[in-house]
Amino acid sequence: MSYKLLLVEDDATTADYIVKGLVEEGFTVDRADNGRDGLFLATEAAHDAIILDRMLPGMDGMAVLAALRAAGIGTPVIILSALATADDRVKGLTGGSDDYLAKPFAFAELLARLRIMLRRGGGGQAPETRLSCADLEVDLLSRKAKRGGRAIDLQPREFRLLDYLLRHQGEVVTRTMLLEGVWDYHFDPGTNVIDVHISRLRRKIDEDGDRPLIHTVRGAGYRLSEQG
Amino acid sequence: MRWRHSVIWRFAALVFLMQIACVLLALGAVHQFTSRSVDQASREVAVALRDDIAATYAAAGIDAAGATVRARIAGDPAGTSVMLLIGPDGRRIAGNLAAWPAGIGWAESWRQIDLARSGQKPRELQTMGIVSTRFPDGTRLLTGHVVENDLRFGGYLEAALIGAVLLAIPLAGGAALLSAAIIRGRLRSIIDTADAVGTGDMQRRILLSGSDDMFDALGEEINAMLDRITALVDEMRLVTDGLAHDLRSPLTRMRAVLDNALRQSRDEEAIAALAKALDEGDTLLRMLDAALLISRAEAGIGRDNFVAVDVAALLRDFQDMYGALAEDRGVTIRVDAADGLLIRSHREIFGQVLSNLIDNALKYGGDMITLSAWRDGDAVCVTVTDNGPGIAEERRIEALRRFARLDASRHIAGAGLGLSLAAAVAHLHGGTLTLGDAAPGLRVTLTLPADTAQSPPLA
Repeated sequence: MSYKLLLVEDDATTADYIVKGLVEEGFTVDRADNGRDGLFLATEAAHDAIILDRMLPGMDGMAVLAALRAAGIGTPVIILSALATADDRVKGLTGGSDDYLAKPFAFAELLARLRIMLRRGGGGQAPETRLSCADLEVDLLSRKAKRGGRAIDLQPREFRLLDYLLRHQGEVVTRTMLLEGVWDYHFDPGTNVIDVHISRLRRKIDEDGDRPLIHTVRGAGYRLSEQG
Repeated sequence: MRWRHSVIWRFAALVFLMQIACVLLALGAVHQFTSRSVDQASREVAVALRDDIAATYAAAGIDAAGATVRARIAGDPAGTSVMLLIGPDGRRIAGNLAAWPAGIGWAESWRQIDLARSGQKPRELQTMGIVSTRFPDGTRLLTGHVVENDLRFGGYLEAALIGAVLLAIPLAGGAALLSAAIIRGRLRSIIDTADAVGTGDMQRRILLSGSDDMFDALGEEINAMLDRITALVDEMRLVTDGLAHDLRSPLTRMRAVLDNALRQSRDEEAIAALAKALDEGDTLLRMLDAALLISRAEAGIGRDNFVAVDVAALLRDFQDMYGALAEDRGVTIRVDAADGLLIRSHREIFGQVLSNLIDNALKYGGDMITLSAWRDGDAVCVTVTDNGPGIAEERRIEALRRFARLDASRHIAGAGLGLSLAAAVAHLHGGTLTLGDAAPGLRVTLTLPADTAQSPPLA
């Protein structure tokens, strides 16, 4: 089943770029280049997610979002905005959006966040106590990890990192997503501190395994999955 | 406080001294006037008495004068008159003194002396003022007035005056304190307002009393200045927001174009070039973000979203976040911070600062980075210390400048905004950033106001 998305973005180059990428990934995309049309399309047809620019002609993105939520439309929304300060982000998230991505952004980042949002929207998650991928098993209660029956000794932070990767297995997670998801910070660490944590985790998980589970996705981030 | 130089203290002292001087002057004048007039009155009585008897003597002879003296004594039931008439032969003719007192000459104009009068019971010494006259034939006359009661009255008066002075001292002190308090109160409202604006409450203004005095004039000037600053800050917010948007939009398009090209390209060289261009775009963006954050922080934008942040928890987060990277580079990160140190801050902005400082320490420092925090009075000090070569004292100011980098070769990547960002954020918190010598190494100290409100931390 193909997901149907709505893109509200006034900048033609950026909109083309997003639509092209999304279509290549197999999504169906409706597009609007101003707030009013965007709101109309969002109320008219059902979408699985909305990508909403914040600064729009006609009607501001935050106003569109407020109108949507007021009308009882709970479609997940990711805000794209050139307003990138920490305060702007908080305002965007408290204004009813599900995620907030500052411009300029990498398409891979947008895609990764969209996929996670769509999966989250597609059914409630039962609280899990056990996660696994191939022969990797993690018991969330006893906080123990095993690969092919062999126990893996993990530091608490490595455990949370693995937990996050397992919950998003098969999906690309970017470095900023990991910083947000594991450390709960959203700033730009100049040096890439995340890579080192991943390579340590990879050493513990993949060193003695039959095949690697943690994959580097060029220009985007990482993915935990059985297939390379 | 150097109270000697305090204007308010000087003012209060002046008020006090002026009041005391006024009281002393007034009481001194009263004292002088009353004692003199009492003395004067007694003398007049004595002189009038003398003139009266002298006239009788001149007109009717010594016997008539003696009779007058006796009559006068008899007619003075209060017994305040003193009289003595001595004949030319030295015989006592009349009077209420037993004999001519020793030490009194023939022509005293006004002398005070302690004498006992005859016919007084009990015989006791009394203070009296005396005038004496000698007639040409040798007859001597002494008249006087007992001034003891007057002196006693004078004594009471003096005691009352001293009492008044003693009473005036606390009153004058009170007046001085009160006037100082009034000035202090007017100034306090100005200081409080400046303080509130300084810590982010841009809407606060000085309340004017409506009296059009100098304090109101000062308040009006400061309010006008604050209006101007507020307008400038609002403008700064608009400009930075606008700049962010205007620069981000083309960067977004550039990234879109490069990314598309990268995905379609098969040529290795082109791919490498495009990836490099994307990287440079990200660097540009990072610098833009840092520069904007510095400008906004220096303008005080963002304080309204401050919450209580637990410094020790934050430092441990960063130890954890950077620990693995540091270890790979042979660097140890230590945390030395007490629990429960709260500051009012923005976790992300403060995190960005810590991240920059740790990054700098990793790039330029030695093999040990210490993150510490402690309470120092009303402030919380947060330090990032390395044991690298440090920064020479004369170059520290330069190091805090925007886009400053002390390694001339610039071979280590970085925009040179880390320290100036940290300094700007310290100012945003109402604190300071200082660079010190860790001997060896650089110690960056952020001195930030402690969060004294006991709200639970959100970190």
